[in-house]
Amino acid sequence: MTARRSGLRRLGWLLPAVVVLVLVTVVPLGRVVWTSLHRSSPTTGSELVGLDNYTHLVASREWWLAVATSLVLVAGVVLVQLALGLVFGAALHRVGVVWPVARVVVLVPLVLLSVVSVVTWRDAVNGGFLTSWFDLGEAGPFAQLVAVTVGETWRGTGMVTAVVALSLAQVTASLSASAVADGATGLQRWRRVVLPSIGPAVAGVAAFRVLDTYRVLDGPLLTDDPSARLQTAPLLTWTTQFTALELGLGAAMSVLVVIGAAVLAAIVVPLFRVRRLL
Amino acid sequence: MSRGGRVARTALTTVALVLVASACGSSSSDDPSVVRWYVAAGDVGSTALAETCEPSLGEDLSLEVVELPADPDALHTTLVRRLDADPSSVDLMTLDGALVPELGTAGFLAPVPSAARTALADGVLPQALEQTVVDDRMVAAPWLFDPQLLWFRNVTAERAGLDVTKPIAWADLISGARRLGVSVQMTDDLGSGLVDWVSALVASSGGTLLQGAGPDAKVGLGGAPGRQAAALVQQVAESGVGPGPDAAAVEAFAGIDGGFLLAPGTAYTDPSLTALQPELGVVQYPRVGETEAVPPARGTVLAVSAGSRHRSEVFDLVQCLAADETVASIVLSTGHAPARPAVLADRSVRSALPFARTLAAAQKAARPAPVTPYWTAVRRAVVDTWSPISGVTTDRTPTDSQAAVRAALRGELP
Amino acid sequence: MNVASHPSIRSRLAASVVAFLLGFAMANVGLIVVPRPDTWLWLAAAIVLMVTGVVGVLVADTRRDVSLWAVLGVELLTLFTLAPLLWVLSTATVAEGSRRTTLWPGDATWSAFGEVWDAGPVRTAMGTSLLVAGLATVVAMLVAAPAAHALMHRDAPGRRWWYVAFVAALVLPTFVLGAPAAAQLLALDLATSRLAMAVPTLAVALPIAVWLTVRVLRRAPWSLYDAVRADGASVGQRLRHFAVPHLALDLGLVTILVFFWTSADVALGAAMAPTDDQRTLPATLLALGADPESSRLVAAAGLWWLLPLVLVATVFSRRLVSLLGR
Repeated sequence: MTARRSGLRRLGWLLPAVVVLVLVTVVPLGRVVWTSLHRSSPTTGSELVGLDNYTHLVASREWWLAVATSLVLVAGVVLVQLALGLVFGAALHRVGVVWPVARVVVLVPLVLLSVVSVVTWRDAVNGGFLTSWFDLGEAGPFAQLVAVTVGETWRGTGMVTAVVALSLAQVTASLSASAVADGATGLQRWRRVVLPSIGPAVAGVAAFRVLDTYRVLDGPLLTDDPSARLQTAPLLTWTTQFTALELGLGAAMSVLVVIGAAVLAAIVVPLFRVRRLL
Repeated sequence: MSRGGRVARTALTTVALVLVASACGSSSSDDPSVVRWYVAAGDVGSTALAETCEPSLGEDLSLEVVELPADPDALHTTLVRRLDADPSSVDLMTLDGALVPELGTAGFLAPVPSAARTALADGVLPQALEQTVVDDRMVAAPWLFDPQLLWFRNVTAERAGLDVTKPIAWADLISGARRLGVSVQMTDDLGSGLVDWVSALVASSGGTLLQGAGPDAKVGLGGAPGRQAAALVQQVAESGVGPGPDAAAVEAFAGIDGGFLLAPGTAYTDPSLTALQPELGVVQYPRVGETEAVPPARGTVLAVSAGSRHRSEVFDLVQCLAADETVASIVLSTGHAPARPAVLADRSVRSALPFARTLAAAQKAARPAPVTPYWTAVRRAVVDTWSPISGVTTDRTPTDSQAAVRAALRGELP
Repeated sequence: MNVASHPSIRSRLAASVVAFLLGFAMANVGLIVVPRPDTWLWLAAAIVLMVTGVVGVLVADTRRDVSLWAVLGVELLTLFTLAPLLWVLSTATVAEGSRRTTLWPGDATWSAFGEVWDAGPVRTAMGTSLLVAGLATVVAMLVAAPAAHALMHRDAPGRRWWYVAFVAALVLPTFVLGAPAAAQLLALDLATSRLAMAVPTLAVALPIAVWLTVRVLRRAPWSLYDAVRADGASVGQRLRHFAVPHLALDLGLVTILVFFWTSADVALGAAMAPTDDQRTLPATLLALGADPESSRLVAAAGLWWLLPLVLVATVFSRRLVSLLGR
């Protein structure tokens, strides 16, 4: 009885946060679902259209192209981040002297406002130093999108690097030593000792990078060009809502984007065996 | 209290002070004695006009000119969101007439009071007036109405073998320019150059870009006129006589390779052309087939926000701005064309503006953007499907564009 | 560090050769392709790599515990991280009206760093961000602390699911909340209120606040707390002997992190503000960034915003890293 009562009392401690969470995420998402059943615009009014927005989107080539672009960008960015992060993290771990400085420096790109990173990376190929180094000439929207994607990779690599370096530091030296004593090769040590110990942390950060890259908006937004065919799903959602002012269709896209994030999480979390984030 | 507690308390106080400070430093857009006039960036010399007409607001009010983004999409979004959220922060707007149906339908624009209606509507070109009426109510004052003209250097036209006493055909224009190795430039005022061009070509081929005001409006891009327009755009792109509508068109025309320029009267007063003025010739917009050309035109209107706290004073201001004398001074100093033809017919204007007759004739034939609350969506769809002009083909572009515009009208993706 | 695995001579020599060749290639590219003054940057990097190669050969057959592959990796990491940051600085220090074409910030003018503090959109936006993100952070921390406390204890029913809900909100694409938040504020006639923007911003602030606070509480020495409590300490004593020394600093750091995380969100800020004078800092920079002429202001504002966080990170780096990474 007492345990149960104290459990409920603890739930009471949780209550304010849950109320706020519901208020600022569930309620707006409900509003999004409701709006998505309408054709709605701030100027030409609103009318109930049922599931029309969804059936239209599911059949729309433009939409699936945007989704595909998003997924390709996410896959590219995260894979490169993981590869670089593992290499750099391992290197940092072995050169322990630099760690006190490095742990601040690697995180600086991440805490720089993403807009600033986007603007400067775009400028780098748009008449900036990369243009003058490699004679790139006029950079179209595609080149800018590539640059901004590289910038996004740059931003997140530090996070993976830091996590890898930290988890490597926790691989117990004695375990590693006994593996060596057992005559394990480098590869065996990596697979049997190192990977299992750093795995959970790396999986957590990888899952976070996947979902964080998926929602990136400012990069594509700043390289958007009317004639550019390459759009990501977040960008298309954004322009539909805030440039075309088609709130209903944009809301339907938002719902699909959220479902997409959920599906992505449902794939990534078991795939990477994420337990650390939770 | 412990040291930690003191630190925490100091920190909290600091945070609170900062918050209060930044909450108090709120925006200045609440000053009730200021009338705000929103204009697109780079528009007619509104500041000078503001000084001329400010007295008509009375003594208690002052006039402030606020610039909107020049990009048409950004302008549209900015304006709609501001009018939606804070209508009282806007008093007067200089608008492209094409936006009036949308903003009027939304109820953002104040109807013109009956006392002012006669003064503002009498003698105005019917196409210009049509843009300002929403649901049988006049919600904006027609102000300027700028048809595009064909500008050239007299020598160039002669050497190209063009007979400038008769309407010039697009085909002759392109081949003449190509032979001489000069360019045909087109202005892209406020980002609407491409859609103006396409709709003029369709209209000159006997079609209509859009018929009807609702989401089921008839789109006229898929048929023969659309194909004819696409053929011409393709011809321009392939002959390499110019980049199509471009923001730097007037400068390029003033340059060494500049041959012809499609632009409204404002080109004449452009700083880069002042040295060339004596050599300039101007005729009607080129025709496509044998029929008369339909020049594209932009109507510029003055609209009062429905949320304005000073409606009657602002309408007094509008009357001052739209008065014949004020408009005549705009026409003479900027080359804009007035919405009321009588201003152009005035003897002093005629004598000071060498192309006043051509302008007046062009105004009669010109057609502005179709009257529809979905204009922004239509414009975006047309621009999306016709740019870059090097990608335009007669078999794909008209049908793609037709589908895209219809989807845009229904609020769907192409 | 890792005594057990000594790098072999062969691996050291291979690393040295790679480092040297990489440096040599960079020197060539720098001299032939890259225009001055960036050539000097390339040469400097090339020399470091080539020296690494030479030193590597010299120490290859010693008992020193140095992995040359790791040294090479750290050098590349340094290049990878710092070169783009240098470009941000170069962008910020270009003269007004001109655009930077070199990575090296030659002829640096620092006026942009002052200009962003002059009355104008960036200063207004900084105030707005301070207000909106600050308020959201305060509220988020106030509700997150008890929530984290409850989530820490096993007897709260369904605690795992609540925790998953907060983590899910952490990775929710927040830009989808922008339009409904804007519509809601409009419906409540609060669209022009900067204070009201703090409420939807809680969607960004609260999940990170809960997540970080839980991490702090997990690291806390609860056995000590139990001991203090068993000694019959009053609430005040418990605070003084347990909460302040073991939690206060971490919670303060968490508050700072939550604030900067919240203030970095661009989509909500851009979506909610119907007028440009109401935008948060990232949203204003987003609008400014559309025009490459304003990049210097964007970069300068970004560096200013970065400064306090870097200072905090430098002072508390060990604590921060263990807070985030473990």
